[in-house]
Amino acid sequence: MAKTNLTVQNKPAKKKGLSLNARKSLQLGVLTIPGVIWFLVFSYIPMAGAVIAFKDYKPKRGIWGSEWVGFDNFEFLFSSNDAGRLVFNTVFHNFISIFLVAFVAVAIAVFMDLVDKRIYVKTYQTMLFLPRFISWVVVGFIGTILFHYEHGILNQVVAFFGGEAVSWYLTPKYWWFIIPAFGVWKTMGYTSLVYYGTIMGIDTQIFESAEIDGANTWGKIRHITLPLLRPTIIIMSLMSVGSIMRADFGLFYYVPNNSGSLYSVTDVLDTYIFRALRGAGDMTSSAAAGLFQSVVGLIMVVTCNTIVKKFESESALF
Amino acid sequence: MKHANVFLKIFVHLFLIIMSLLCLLPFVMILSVSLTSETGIQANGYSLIPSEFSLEAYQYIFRNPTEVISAYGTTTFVTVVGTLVSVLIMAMLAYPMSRSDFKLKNGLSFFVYFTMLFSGGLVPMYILVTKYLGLKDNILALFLPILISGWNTMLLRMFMASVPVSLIEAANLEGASEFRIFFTIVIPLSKVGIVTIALFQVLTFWNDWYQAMLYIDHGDMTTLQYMLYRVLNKVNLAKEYGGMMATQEKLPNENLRMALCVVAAGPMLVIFPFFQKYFSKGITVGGVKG
Amino acid sequence: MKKTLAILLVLVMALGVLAGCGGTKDNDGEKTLIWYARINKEPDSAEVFQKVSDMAKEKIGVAVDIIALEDYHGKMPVIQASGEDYDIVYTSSVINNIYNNVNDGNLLPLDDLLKESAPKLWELFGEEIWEGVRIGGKIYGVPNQQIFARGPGYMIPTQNIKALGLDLENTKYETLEDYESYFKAIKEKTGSYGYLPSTWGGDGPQLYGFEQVIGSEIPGVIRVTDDSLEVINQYETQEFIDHINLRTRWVKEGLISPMKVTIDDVTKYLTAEDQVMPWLIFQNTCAPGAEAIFKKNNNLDVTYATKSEGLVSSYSLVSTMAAINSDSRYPEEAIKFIELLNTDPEIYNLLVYGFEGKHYTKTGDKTIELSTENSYTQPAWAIGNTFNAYILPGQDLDVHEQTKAVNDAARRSPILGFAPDQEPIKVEVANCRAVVEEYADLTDGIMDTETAYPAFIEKLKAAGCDKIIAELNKQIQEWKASK
Repeated sequence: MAKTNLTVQNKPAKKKGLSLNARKSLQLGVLTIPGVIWFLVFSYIPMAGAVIAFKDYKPKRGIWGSEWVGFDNFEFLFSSNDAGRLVFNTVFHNFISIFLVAFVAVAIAVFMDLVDKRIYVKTYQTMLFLPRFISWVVVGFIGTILFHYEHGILNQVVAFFGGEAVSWYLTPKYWWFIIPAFGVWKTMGYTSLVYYGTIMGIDTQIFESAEIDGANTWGKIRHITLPLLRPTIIIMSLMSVGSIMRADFGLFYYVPNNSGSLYSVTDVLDTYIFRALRGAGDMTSSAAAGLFQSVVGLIMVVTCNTIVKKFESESALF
Repeated sequence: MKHANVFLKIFVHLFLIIMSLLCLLPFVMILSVSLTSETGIQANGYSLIPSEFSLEAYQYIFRNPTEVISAYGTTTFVTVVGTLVSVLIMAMLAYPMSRSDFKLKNGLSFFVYFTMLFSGGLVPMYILVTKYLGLKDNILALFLPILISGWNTMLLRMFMASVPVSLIEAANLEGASEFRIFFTIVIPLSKVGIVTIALFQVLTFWNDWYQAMLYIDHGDMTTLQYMLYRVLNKVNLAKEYGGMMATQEKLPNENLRMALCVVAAGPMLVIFPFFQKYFSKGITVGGVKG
Repeated sequence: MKKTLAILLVLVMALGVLAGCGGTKDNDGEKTLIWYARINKEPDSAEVFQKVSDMAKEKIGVAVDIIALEDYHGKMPVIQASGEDYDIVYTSSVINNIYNNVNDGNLLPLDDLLKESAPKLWELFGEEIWEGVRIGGKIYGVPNQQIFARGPGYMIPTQNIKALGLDLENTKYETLEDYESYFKAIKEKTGSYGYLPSTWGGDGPQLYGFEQVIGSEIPGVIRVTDDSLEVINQYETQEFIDHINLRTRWVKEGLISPMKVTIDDVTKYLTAEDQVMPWLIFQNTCAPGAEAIFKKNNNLDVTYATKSEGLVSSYSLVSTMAAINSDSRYPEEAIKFIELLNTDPEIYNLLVYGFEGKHYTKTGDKTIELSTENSYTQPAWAIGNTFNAYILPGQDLDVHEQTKAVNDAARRSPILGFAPDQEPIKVEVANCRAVVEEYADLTDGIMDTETAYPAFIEKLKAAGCDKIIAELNKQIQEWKASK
């Protein structure tokens, strides 16, 4: 590492005047400035625009000149007789995905750590990352290769074993499994990288001393790796809880081919909003729906964070 | 970890091989379809090995190579600059958030996390970028609006929190400034985390087509993903409107859709191993004195 | 450290330089129209657009900045909602919905402008057409001259006539039910079922004598022969029930496939020319020359077996229009440019087909052949007057005259000129749209009709379809009284 000349003015470290803590805090504060400015400009200022959720927004009058209409724009979402199903599906699939992805990704990361040869690690990681590059639209095309009634691979397998062809796109029950499977498939490589990175960051001395104490592989995983991954797992899950009301649109729209027969399983808030407002160009209703998703997410994450704080304050988000 | 026993080793490899194949096969399928002639697809459907080998899809894409090359250029520029700038800014933000003795730690974390929950939506963002920042048709618009990710900042904070406090305290006693501690201790020690986040940011910028769709009206500036999106979007619209539009415009062939996919994702397969170089163990406390 | 700093410095400078070269607006005080066009970005489109702009400058003294928005659906709502500057825009009954735009005050009323500044354009259409596009008594858009008489039909792959020994002349093919013999013949010959895409979507209900009042899928139709103009829910009519029962029965009897197929699938199932191509194709608009376009896009020869009587309705008239921003700085120039697109074949064909010699070659006075090397394709119907378009191989020489004749002869909708106000039923429309899409499989006969149909109707009621019907009835009666 090259020597740093950046902070010349701080060289006489024990200067009196500012107390050390205040100055240090100030320095830390200075570091945050570019990031804070970006968030203010690109997140917080536009956030004010979310008020159109409560307005009868007319572009020519501008956001502030448009009339207030209270909660009118929320009506379409809550007046839908599917609201219960939508909320259930969204939350259910998200919970499943949080647990499943964490489980599979941690397993991959821990196993990857057991692989000796770097070349294998590299190969596995590269392959596991591939789904990240395939957009859901294309995954939808691939899905038809699997599920197509006539030419699909699955039905060919079924036929091979003498079964009767299944109409995959018309039979909801299978999709309780298909949806999570595709969800995990798409994200496991990506998420496992975070866990793998955490394992890489563990001080090797800890493992070495455990080995001296005679720990075997499983013992090291159980007593060192997994406990050290715990905060990471908790933080990752906590962050996901905030989007509990948001679904990965592409997964629920393109993979099931937007087949109406499957809606009892695959219809989530995001697909419903898209479907109902398509063509209407209705910005206010979609803003209202988004706000609802955000508020629920906020409540959920603050609650969970408070609980985590009680038991394990260092894994809390804020 | 060395010394793992043979059965465990076999199990581990078997598990990883199966998972990897599940991820690889669809991609092989895409590659294969992209290399099959349109008549071959019509006659034999999709297959893992091209039934009728043909480069027609790629020839079509590269019939006008300037567009593709310039798209590569734009995408690469956006990815490189965006990643460098964003990782630096995020690291600078994440480090104070990771310091348990920093008073604003929780407030700042909430400030960042809150942006993951709430957004103003498309219209205010569009007005901000085009009207107030005047970035329409400007390459900055391709990455500035998505520069920082709250999620990745939180992840970085997590990685940085594992930097031993004792080291920072020691540097403190020596009178090092926070800037110095950040650059000489924290960054090297959270190298793995930073590289992970950098990789995620690379993906974000590389895979984004939305900014190009929104903010680029004129000229030849386009990104790879936007090229791909335009083609797929035509197919989707035709499907949505059923028979109505299908006969009014010719739809892109399937091999073309897949070839675009390969063209758009291909370079990443080369870039990925480059990052992996940094995923290595062996950072010990003793080895980082600045 | 030094390295990091150096990189940072370079980046900051680079960003500064880039930020400096932002967008430019009118250069040198020259008037420039901004046109968000629903056309494609093609390899040579920049040169073509420049030429168009130059021609416009010469003819009407204004340059045109043509912005080709391929993703009109995704981007135009954002442009509208953010109040961005533009002059000319594409608007329609679906994409960039004209009724919403008028409701939001986005569009300029054109009545006076048309008569004063663009008399040639004003004369292009008769009073009937202008009357038909009025919304709240005013004209907000210029329809692109094309087939206005909309009506769906069924097409049979031409090769089947020989392969199945069909006799189109002497067989009655009027309703979907009449095709039972057709699918039976397919099954007999191939041993398998045939393929039938959705036959109720789009303008499909028109084959059953309905006109949809607020667009496809949303509950609310009138019978075109019913003078009382009573709005009913098409999904509760006997016609709809018969339609799904027929399809369900065909699926059960193995006559048609038990899965969803779209026209996009046609090319996947192409068979050799002497063999049976097991499809019946639903075509939304039976315009003259549609067979040639279908052949061009799907590589399959088709023949009409059923054509519904075309219907000229307000909905079909506003299906592709050019409109002007209510904030436009140069409304007069804008309408003049729209006039050029509709009355000047030179500028129109330049935009549609590109440069002569490069993108196409002339084979006659009005006929052309497209270049195979340099492709440049634009949707002619989204640009202007399609009657001025050059004629492609496979199209009849008098295709435009035929289209005009069809337009003139077609039945007029009894509610021509009625523009529904969706504002009071916005919520119900959104929720009903969601329900109808959910039951698309029912409409295609691949759901269990016994249980799904009652559930469908129940959900529609819960979503407020009755309120939509009542509101439309009220509006139509008011409109009728005001005439």
